[in-house]
Amino acid sequence: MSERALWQRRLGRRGALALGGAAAFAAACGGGGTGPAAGGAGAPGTPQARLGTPTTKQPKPGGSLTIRITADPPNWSPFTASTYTAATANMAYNKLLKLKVSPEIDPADVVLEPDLAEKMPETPDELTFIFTLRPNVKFHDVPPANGRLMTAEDVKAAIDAYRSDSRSAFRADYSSIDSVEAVDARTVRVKLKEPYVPLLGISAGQYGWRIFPKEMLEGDDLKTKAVGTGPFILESYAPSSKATYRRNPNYFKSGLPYLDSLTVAIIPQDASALSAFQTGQVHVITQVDCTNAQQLKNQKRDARYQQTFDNHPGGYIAVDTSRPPFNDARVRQALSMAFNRKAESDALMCGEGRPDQLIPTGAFKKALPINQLGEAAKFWDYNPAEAKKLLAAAGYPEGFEVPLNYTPQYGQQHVSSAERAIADFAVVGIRVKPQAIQYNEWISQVYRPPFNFTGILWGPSRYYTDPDPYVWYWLHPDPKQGISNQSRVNDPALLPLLEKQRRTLDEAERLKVIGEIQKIVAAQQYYIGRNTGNAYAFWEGWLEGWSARLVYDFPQVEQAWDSRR
Amino acid sequence: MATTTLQHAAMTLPRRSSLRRLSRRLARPANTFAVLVLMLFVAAALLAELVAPYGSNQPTTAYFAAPSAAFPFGTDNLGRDVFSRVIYGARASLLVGALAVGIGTLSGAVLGITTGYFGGAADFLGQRLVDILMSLPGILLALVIAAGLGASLFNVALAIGIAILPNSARVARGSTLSVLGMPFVEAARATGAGHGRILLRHVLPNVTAPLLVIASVQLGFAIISEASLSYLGLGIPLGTPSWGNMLSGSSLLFMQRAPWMGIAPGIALTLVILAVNLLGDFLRDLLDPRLRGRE
Repeated sequence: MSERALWQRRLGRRGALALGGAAAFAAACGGGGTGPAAGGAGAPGTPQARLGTPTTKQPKPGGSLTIRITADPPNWSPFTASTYTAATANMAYNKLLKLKVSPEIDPADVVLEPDLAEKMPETPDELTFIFTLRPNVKFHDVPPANGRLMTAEDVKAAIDAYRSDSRSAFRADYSSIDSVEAVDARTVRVKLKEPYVPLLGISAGQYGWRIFPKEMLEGDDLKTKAVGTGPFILESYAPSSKATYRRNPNYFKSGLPYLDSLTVAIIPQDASALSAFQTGQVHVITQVDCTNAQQLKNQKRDARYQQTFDNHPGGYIAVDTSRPPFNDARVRQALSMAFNRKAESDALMCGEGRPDQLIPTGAFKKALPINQLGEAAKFWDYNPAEAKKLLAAAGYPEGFEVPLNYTPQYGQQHVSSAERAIADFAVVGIRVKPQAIQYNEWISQVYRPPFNFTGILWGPSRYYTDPDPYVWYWLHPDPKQGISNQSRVNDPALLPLLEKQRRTLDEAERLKVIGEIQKIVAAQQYYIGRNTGNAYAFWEGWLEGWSARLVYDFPQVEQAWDSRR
Repeated sequence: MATTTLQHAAMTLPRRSSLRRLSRRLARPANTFAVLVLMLFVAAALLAELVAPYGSNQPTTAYFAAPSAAFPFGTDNLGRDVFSRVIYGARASLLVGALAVGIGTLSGAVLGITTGYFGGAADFLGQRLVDILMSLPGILLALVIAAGLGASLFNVALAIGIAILPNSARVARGSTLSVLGMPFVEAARATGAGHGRILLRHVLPNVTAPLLVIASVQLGFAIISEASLSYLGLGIPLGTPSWGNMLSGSSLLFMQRAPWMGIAPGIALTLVILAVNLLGDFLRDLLDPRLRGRE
């Protein structure tokens, strides 16, 4: 198994591969332009990978696969914005479009391809998308669908529910949709009120349009079941243990999936997950820290891996700007200057972390590098003396005491990052009181509205297939739109820009608008960026058709196969 | 005068005898070791600021440094001196352990002795309460209580103490029932002794030994439980070292890269639990009326 610097060769043609939401929209509209993928972003280094020699064998059906996640899904509803719901429920669903999975695609690139749709949508004008559905697609042969054919009515019901059902956490994403129409059994027309550039990218992402039988909208079926058209049928779920799936024998893609069964193992402790991978009990683990990755590379020489520049174990810091002390920009700026990003990178990322801002610099290549944020770039410098001055000017010469809210369920490295920062903040007199919050409460009360916390929120790494959620979710003042606006930002200068970036079809122009937003956030330090990290995904050497992705679900399962057979 | 002198001699002789017995037993190597270890850790906990070369949460740039002259127990993933953290960690761990065992053993003893002594409805109700508590795994019980009370040192000790209570109550009740059948209790009753006198003078001394033994065993459980609660964010707050959170957090994740992160607090924990167990044996031998006079 030779280690290949595959990425180094491919980075040169990244522009040709990277189809962000806007580019995909432009392509769908017939514009055909792909735009500058990097957008002036801080280009990541050369990610390391051992992808193995592609086998010449033909894929064979059979076998089983076990994937590890760290916590239980709060429920199974596709309307729930939770990493762990996406990772477990999405095995059972398809979307109209999906992200293409291939070892040849950089995990950070967004390449869309048809899934339930037969082809990319027709766009007769900038406000209309016409999806043609594949024929003879059947839902799982379990109640309530009992294997019936999927129709355009189901697609209409699902999209309508995403944009208007009170249970949907994603209404903000689809408020630009004017109507959804089932033209005939295989055609769905989506009409917009105004241009909405991120639509395709978001609808294909981990929280995208998962199509379910319309009868599941009644009662609580969506919360407790996962019945779709997807490659695997949910068989059992034991909380805090595992979810098991069996192959969907009626899957609409002939011959797929290859695997007979699938298990998603819920293993909270990273150390236990590493042991489980080393002993072959788990076949795929993600977000492995760089230190343990080095060990694994040496110890399990047949394992394959890919380094992913998402921002794990980095993330961001949100603060409650609605009340003192963080309602004063100087205090937020001081907090940023008190945070030692280099020390975090050295301690948690083997020195390979890169200073981050609202849009993660590594995860999504449309973030402005820190040195292009103007005067505000100085807030990324570690400068306790200046931070103290800012605190004194804001009326806190002796500092203050403040809660720091985090959830241990994001893993030990996330906890360590918060623990390390306590000493940073103490240097300037900010005495934090750490408060651990269990994941279910975190995701329903703290991370999402009503943002039930004061002081500091230790934000996790996150990934979206378009820059829009990073700015819309985190900055929109209406909690129904700004579902991650933990800092409770309410800046009149931002709202027009947030709306403008959604409407701007030209990729370069849109990036300029997004750049303006990033500059305002940087000056005000509404959110304090930490670092983009360098986690690794590992999988067994016998697992073919697999490659790392930054999305939280596992679209790879559809085409994965066991080469030992 | 002669009578008074004799009475005085009768009162003081046993005390001298007890002191001699105490010093003889203390001189045994195992007991000396136990006392020294406990004194060492208690002193370290009290004087941590003076003894520890670094602050409890003070980072350096030496990440994962192996044990050396500069860092006797090495450094952790955040570059913190493990030796200093073991010293500071003694403070939280011993305090939580002692508080939890104190709360659990004392409340369990009161419940067990009184219900065992009085019997009847009180015994029935008390033991059903203990049954309920025993039907739940100790750590789960502590977790639920800690989640309800919130993370603080006292709340963690209280949660673990309640989890410890049923074992102590059962041991105390069983010992009380066996003591109640003894002739000296019958004799005390026959001479008109009240409940208080019988409980304090006859039952309690005979129940103390098994309670001490179980308390010494529970100390280990208490410190380890604190580790489990810390992992879930319900134990000692983040940033405050305890042997529990040192053993349960990053040391597990980096067990292969930097084994010293877990070995150092593990050894400290083992030594304290061993010392407390030896001390428990020592106190049992000293206090058990049936073993008095035996060497």
